Amino acid sequence: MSSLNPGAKFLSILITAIVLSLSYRTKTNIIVAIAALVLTLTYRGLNYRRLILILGPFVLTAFGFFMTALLFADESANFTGTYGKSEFNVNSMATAWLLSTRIMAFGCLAILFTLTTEPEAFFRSLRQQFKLSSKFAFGLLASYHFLPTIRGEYFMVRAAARVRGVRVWPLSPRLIIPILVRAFRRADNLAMAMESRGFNPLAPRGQAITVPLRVRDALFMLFPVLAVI
Amino acid sequence: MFKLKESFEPWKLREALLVGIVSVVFGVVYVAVTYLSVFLATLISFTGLGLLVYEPIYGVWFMASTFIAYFIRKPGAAIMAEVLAAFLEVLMGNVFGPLVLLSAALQGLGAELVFLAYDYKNYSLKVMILASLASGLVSFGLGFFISGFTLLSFGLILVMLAIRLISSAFFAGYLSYFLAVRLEKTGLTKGYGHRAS
Repeated sequence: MSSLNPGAKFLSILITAIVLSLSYRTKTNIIVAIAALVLTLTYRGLNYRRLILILGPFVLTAFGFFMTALLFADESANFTGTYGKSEFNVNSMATAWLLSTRIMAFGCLAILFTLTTEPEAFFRSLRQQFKLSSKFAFGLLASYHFLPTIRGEYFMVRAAARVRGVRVWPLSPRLIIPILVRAFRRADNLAMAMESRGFNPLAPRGQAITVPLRVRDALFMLFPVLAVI
Repeated sequence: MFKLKESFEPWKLREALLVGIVSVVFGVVYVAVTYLSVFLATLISFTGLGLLVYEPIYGVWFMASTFIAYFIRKPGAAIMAEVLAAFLEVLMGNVFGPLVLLSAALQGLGAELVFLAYDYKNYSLKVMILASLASGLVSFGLGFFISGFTLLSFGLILVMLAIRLISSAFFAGYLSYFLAVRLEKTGLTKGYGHRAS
């Protein structure tokens, strides 16, 4: 999976997801979910801790969908069972399975992409194959690298507020404003740093590392076919 | 269709960087809120209302888009902010994976159309709330395809829609506006897209 072109992989997974979102078949969902999961597991550099951290919320979300669909499905016939005080029927059971397996399929597709793709290679591919302007591609890459810093800042500001005995919730302006202030400064400084080193988005530029588009990418483009079966 | 009365400067590097970094900031906030709600949703999922827990925080999704649009007042800002945020979201690991790119583009388009209707000149609280409602509506419409809302009962859908719209208006409309105005007062934001008015 890692040797695939990230852009082509992204496109192929996107198409699969779109096809899935237009189809209403539990079996298809399960096939796609399992295929994606198996492909992910064959990836050698797989980070199992991240896999579980990302998969956990998916399973919970799918379970939420399952229960919601079970109790609030848009049908009313053939009561077959009770759950607490409410009754559910065969139809809502089917709907529940359909919606929750669908979430799992999306989740597995997401994992397939996220865990087997190098962010840097993805941005390179966006620029080389999808002609994203270098201004935005490098802007994105720079911001992506600031993710750990910004996350750290967030927890730091929150800790600082707590030390002073200030009650905060995740979206308090008291937390966000200092971080946004830094964001503006950071964007300015970064732009200045890049431009002073001669970054010019309009000038023709070479590629330090090229991300090739190979036959195997064309083969992976057949992946959405799974969703049609 | 709409016709813009003036031409706009192309995007500057610092603006592209600002979009990226602000998206990361809201991304971090969003993840923090999401973990809280996943926890809550699991607690009450046996009542079948677990899905509703995500609705009140849905508006946080659109915050980057309206916030950026407030500072970078040119065509495409709202869409660009949503799309760049979606790329980062995919790399951080989102349930819907690459699909968020599509929904982000369409949600951004919703907000974009509102700003376009005001000729990229009016960024009052009212317009910000309208833009956030447009994003909320589009995202809900997409829910019919992506999450299969069609299969749920009509009453539940109406409740979800109401909560999502209120959440959009509050977070992406009111809170984004509030934060943007506060930041503007710091004087740091000079030179970002504001044309002399």
